[in-house]
Amino acid sequence: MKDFVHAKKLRILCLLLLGGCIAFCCCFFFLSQNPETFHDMIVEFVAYTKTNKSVEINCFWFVTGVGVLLLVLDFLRDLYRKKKEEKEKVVTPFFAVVVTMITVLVGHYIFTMTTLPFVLLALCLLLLAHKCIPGKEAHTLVAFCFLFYAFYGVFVFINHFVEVAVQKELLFIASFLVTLWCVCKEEKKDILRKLILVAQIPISLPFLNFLVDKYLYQGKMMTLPQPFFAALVFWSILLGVMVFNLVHLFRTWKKKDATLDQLIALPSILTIFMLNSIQGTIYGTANLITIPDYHHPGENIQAFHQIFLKGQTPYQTYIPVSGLFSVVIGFLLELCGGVMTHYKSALVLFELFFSLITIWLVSRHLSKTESLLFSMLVLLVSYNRISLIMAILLILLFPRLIANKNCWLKVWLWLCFLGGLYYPLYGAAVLLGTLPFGIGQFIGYLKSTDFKKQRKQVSFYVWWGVTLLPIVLCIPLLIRMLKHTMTYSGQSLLADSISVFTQELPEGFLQILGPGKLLAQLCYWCLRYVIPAGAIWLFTLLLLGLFSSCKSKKDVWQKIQTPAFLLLPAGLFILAVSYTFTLMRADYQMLLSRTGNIITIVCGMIYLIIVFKNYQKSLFYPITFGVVLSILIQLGSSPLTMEKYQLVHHYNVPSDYTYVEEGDLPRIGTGFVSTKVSYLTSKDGEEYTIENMKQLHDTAQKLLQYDPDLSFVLYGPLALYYILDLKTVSQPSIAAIKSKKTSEEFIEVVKREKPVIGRYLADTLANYYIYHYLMTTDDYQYSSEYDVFLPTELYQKIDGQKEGEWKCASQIKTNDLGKAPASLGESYQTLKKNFKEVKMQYQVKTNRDEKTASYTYQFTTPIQKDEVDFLYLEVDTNRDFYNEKSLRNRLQIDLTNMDIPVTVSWGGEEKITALLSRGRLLIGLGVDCDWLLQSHSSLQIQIEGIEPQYQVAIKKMQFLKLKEAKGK
Amino acid sequence: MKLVQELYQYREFLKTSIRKEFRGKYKKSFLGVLWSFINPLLQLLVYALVFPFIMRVQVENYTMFLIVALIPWTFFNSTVCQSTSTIIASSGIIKKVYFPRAILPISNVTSNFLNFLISCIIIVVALLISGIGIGASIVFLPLVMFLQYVFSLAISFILSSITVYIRDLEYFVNVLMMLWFYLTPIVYEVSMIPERFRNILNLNPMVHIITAYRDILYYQKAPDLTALGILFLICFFLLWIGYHIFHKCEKRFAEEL
Repeated sequence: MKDFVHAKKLRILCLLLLGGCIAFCCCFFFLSQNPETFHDMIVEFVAYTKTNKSVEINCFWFVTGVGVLLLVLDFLRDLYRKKKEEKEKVVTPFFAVVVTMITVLVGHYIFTMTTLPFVLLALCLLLLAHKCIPGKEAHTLVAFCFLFYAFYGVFVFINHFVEVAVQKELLFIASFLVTLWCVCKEEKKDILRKLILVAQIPISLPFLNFLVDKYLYQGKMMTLPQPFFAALVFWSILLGVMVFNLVHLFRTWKKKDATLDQLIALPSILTIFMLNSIQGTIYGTANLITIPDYHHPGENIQAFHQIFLKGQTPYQTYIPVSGLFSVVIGFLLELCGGVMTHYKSALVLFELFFSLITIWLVSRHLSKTESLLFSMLVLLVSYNRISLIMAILLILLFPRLIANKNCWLKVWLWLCFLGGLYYPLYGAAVLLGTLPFGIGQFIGYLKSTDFKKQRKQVSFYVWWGVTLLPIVLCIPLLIRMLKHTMTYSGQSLLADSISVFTQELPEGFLQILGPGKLLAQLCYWCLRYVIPAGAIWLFTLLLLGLFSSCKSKKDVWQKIQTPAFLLLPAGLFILAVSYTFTLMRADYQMLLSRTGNIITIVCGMIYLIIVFKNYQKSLFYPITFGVVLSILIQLGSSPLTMEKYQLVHHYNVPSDYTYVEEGDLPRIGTGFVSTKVSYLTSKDGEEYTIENMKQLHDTAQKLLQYDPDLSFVLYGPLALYYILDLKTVSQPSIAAIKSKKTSEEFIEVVKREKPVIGRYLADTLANYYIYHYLMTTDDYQYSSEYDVFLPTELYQKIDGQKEGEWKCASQIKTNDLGKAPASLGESYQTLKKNFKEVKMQYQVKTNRDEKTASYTYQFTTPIQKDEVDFLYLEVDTNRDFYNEKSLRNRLQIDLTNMDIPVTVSWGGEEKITALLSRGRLLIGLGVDCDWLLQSHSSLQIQIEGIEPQYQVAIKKMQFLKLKEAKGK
Repeated sequence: MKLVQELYQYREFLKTSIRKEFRGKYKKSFLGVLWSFINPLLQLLVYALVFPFIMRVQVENYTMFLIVALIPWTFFNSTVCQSTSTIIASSGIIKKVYFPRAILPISNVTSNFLNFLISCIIIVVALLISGIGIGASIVFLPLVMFLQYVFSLAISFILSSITVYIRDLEYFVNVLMMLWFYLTPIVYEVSMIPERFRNILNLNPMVHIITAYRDILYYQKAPDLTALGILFLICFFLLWIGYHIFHKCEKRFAEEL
């Protein structure tokens, strides 16, 4: 890769970032006056909070697009402008590293008002080495890095046998002092070289942390062995690396002229990256204490369990959530014994495997010193959906593979295929990102003499046949997967989104701006959008820079076939495609949330590789490298601020955990599990415990006696199916199914497979289609004995009854609908097509006292069961003001009349409440089972808490029936 | 690593050797490569008649039960039997030309493996016709095939080198393979073996390989991954031992031949 971006482009990038911030604020204030437009009954965060997520996304794409356009215009201007032959001053590696370090230190200080001791000490050493032993600056830095890990390894070793405690800072200082001493003595003695060699010996000792088998439980020390397979892997790495480094030491000890790259052993780099990647993640331990949340572990292993152990067909009898990514950890868990308590070991093995592949591939592209620096600066984030991206790109980047176009094309097809199966969104991102280069390779291959020769050989067709056959055989699966993905992507914006503009600041965010929150809040919103846009701009700039260095058409064609061209559009497209989901999912109190993971992969890895190749060519690279690194540090994607350098002697089992043994539940294993089961509540609304899970197991076993092939859909944590070893039909839990299309997909598979469906009626409005199906269909009957919905055939088989029980007994009533009816009501015109209006004849009685207006409707003919399930109201009050003045609340779109509840009641105690807002309400009466399944002769509407000076009038009222999701 | 580098250097020779073994096997026969299909089919026919009807083995869909195990076994059997004569048959070239001797057992195993892959078409067709079909567990098939390949190679290294020194081994192996066949659950189910002998039976690596094939193809479920994981380690350890034995013995091949 040649130098293609000058430092002067930094100005443009900075201007764009600043302009982007201003543009975001302006666009948002201008556009956010309109509420979200709904086209389907998707009730989730956007509806509940009455926010407008589309505006946020549109703002982002608009400003990003404008930025890209400006960069292209600037490129065209440069192209047609007379070129001045100005050669930029080449910076020395030493200067470039110093600039990067200072940028990182300043960047980190701005964000957190703290310093990075490791970088600061390294900078001091670098400056000292430059003064005392010029030419050995890199040796000094490498010795410092290795020493830190060596000291850490020694402490882990001691701690494994005798409990000790040591601060991370102490390790920094110790390694600093020893390196300092070596720098001072280096002129007289050849000491740094030896130090580098010796320091690599104990580097794998921290793997002892993963072999700890002692647990302090209720004051008693217990010993529980690690799963055999995991222990074998950890021991193999620990001993293998140590033996290799010892051999390396003996071989290199006397080679005084050995280069720095020759002094560094590859296993040391691999070990550092693996350790950082595992320990930098949330659950960086391989103990037998399960993760408290029973949902996510289930999500990460379920496809393997359902497809390979329960014999289900993906996207036919069983719908995986999104791609088959959970097959990998599920497979590793099976290797670890196939029980839940071994989940963390499987997770660590997963991190280990992908981090090993990634850093090994990186080391094939960079020198050992650069690879070591890489492993010290970034880590592989634990978001398992993106684990394949980096590995795929690095494989496709191999120069020898690129030269063999025939082979590259086959590998490319296979990797994109695997990427798509693993996680469709990122598979598509990789496919699109590498498509420009792939097309170049394809055309290049067709034109080559190789193709003309090879097409005459039988082996050419055989190998292409072998490559394409599995893909062709998987076409039905791919089609089903595509259909499912499209169904879910249709609901994503409104079902998965969390608004950024309603969020509080993360704790300690930009303290440098002082105690006043406003400016920090503005910066938070801007950064939330400008960083992702900035990443796209950066890659656009680099891509344009690549082309600007072309002098002829032939030159362009040659550039298109370079690894640089593979990386740049890949970075650009992967960011853009991945943002379509990650920008929506803006989890609370996290600067970039899931977007941060994709930025880490693309900017933290692809960009770093580009930087390493161009480091000393222009100041642009060290400065942007510093900025990118500062951002990665804030995202927790760099080991430079890692808190978790573990020293594990034994594990303390939390007090809310209980000991379980193999056989307590089918796949629970031996270890410790949280007593409380998240997402599950008993009929009385109490949180589930492990005892309830045992009861659930007994229930399932009783039902399985009637039909051993029975599958289950339980509203609850996904790990439940694994622990109880049950078949299920759908990985997306009912809570994730929102739109009509997704509901239809679910109902379709339910009609076909006839699973037992758990009582789930906690949030009926959010799953109205499914709730309505279950309540009104004859396919299912509620069984109070088992507290589940049973397929009618099974129900009759068990009870011998023909008449079902009263289904409403299953419902926990949640009749306060909050802002959701107002959100939907604002979109009544676009939602209208989903409803059928039911004309009702009635007489109205109106009553207005000081603060309450009430209306009673007496129907001439009673409303029949399931005849009307929604009510549209237009209430006019001449009250129109914002009752909260803070900027954040102003941005929560339309707080007008949010303090006024509208209550619709019928019969005795039955009622539903919604907040009035702007007065247009779409109230789901059917959410209350008693309304849905009974007939009604009257209805009362009460508007409370409105001061006497304001008028109240119901301008419009329509009785509606939602068109059902039926499935085939 | 040295072996890998040498194999890469002599990759053209390796390819030619595999091709020669593969094509040479049925070279002068009228049906040629078709024997790759006919042989296992005829063998299958015999077993499918003898066991359910004469021996009264009670297994559902016995032909399929047999086919998914017998074809992999045939690959193993022919590899091991041929391995004893691999080096001896190539004595001419060994005496004259230098090349990595390991190429000979590798090409023997690989050519038999290719033959096995062709025979697998029978399994696929039979699975489709019988209505069992092909499930998602098929993704584990390459892993099991690879394990069997490694295991066969390990045995081949050992037998091919030792036979040069002890020629009687060639004849003894044929008898041993017959015994091994009955000690492996090919024509019967593992559950038919009394519990007390199971642990002894489990020491036979082919038990796990055949069971894995059967799990994947016949029962359409994932194989026992723990067993396969352990087998993976054993196979590579055996390969390492096998190669070291071969490496020790190969120095005097030219003299002995």
